Amino acid sequence: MSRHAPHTPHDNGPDPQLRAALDALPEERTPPADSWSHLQRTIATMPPAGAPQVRTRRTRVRWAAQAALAASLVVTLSVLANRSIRQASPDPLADLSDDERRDPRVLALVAQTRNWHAAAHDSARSARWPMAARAAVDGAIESTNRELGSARAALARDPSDVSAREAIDTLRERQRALLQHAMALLDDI
Amino acid sequence: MARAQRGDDVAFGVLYQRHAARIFALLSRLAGDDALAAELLQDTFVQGWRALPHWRGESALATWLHRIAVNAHLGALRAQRRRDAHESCEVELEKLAGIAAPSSEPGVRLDIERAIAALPPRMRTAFVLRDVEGFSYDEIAQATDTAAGTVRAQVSRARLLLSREIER
Repeated sequence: MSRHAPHTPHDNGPDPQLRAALDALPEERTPPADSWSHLQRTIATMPPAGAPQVRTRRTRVRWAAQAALAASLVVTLSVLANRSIRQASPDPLADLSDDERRDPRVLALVAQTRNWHAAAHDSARSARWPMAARAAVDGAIESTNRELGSARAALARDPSDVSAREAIDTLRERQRALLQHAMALLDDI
Repeated sequence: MARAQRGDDVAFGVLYQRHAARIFALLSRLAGDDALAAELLQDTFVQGWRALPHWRGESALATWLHRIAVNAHLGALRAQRRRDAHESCEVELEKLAGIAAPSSEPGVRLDIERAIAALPPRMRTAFVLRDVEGFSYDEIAQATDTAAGTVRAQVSRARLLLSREIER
């Protein structure tokens, strides 16, 4: 599967000895013996994406378990996000700097937030979402936004504040992951 | 293939048997850790199982699975990066110096796998994607959310370290 790259004029590639060692690397390695059985057990609990949905007793049990999981996940994340609230700020997405507007990570979060709002307002899609789960996600967004606002304010005061910059990146990634995970779970209900 | 796409786990098992060893080799190299590679192998095939009904055969199945595996590794790397934002490159380099002892079997090639595994995670990823998997610097930069110049520096540093170990 490897596709050794043609070397550019600025990149002569590894030296011949290293290249030879790399070329001698085996293309295959045997996975752990229980790998397939473990995988088999995992996929047995989930239908492939294209399979028709039949609501059986097992499906209903799964539905209940997933609803509980979704609720507990978002409540947990909400609590985590609330833990270090320092200062309130309205919506950090509304006042992005030009640099932030060019940052793919920020744009990914903006897109994910828009997806969330669109899905939450789509009654056909969100009709089965538990209210508690939805409220918890909204609460987590709000809390993370406040925390983001605080970190952004700290960075505005001191542009060399590395910890504030890292906090912003972490919070944005956490919020994007929360929305993505929550939507996947809720849509699966 | 059609049976696997319809959700036949026996047919999926055949696909697994055909591709797992190659994907595991890739993941072991990228992750530098067999236990983590085994987890990522599971993630790769779980994602493959989910997405298989939508696979339209534009690329070979092996290529498609390969891409899922690389993405699974990059996701794990990002998660690790968040957990350990202050990873010390120097500490990892010291580890490298300690592990790359010459092979005990005379005339046998240097245990290059071990030396690659000892590289710091981001440097290892850049190196494996570039020099083993043949990605371009821009592709790696985009996939790892890192500046292309940084990727070049990581690859160059990794080559230097590994070449030194070969010469020892």
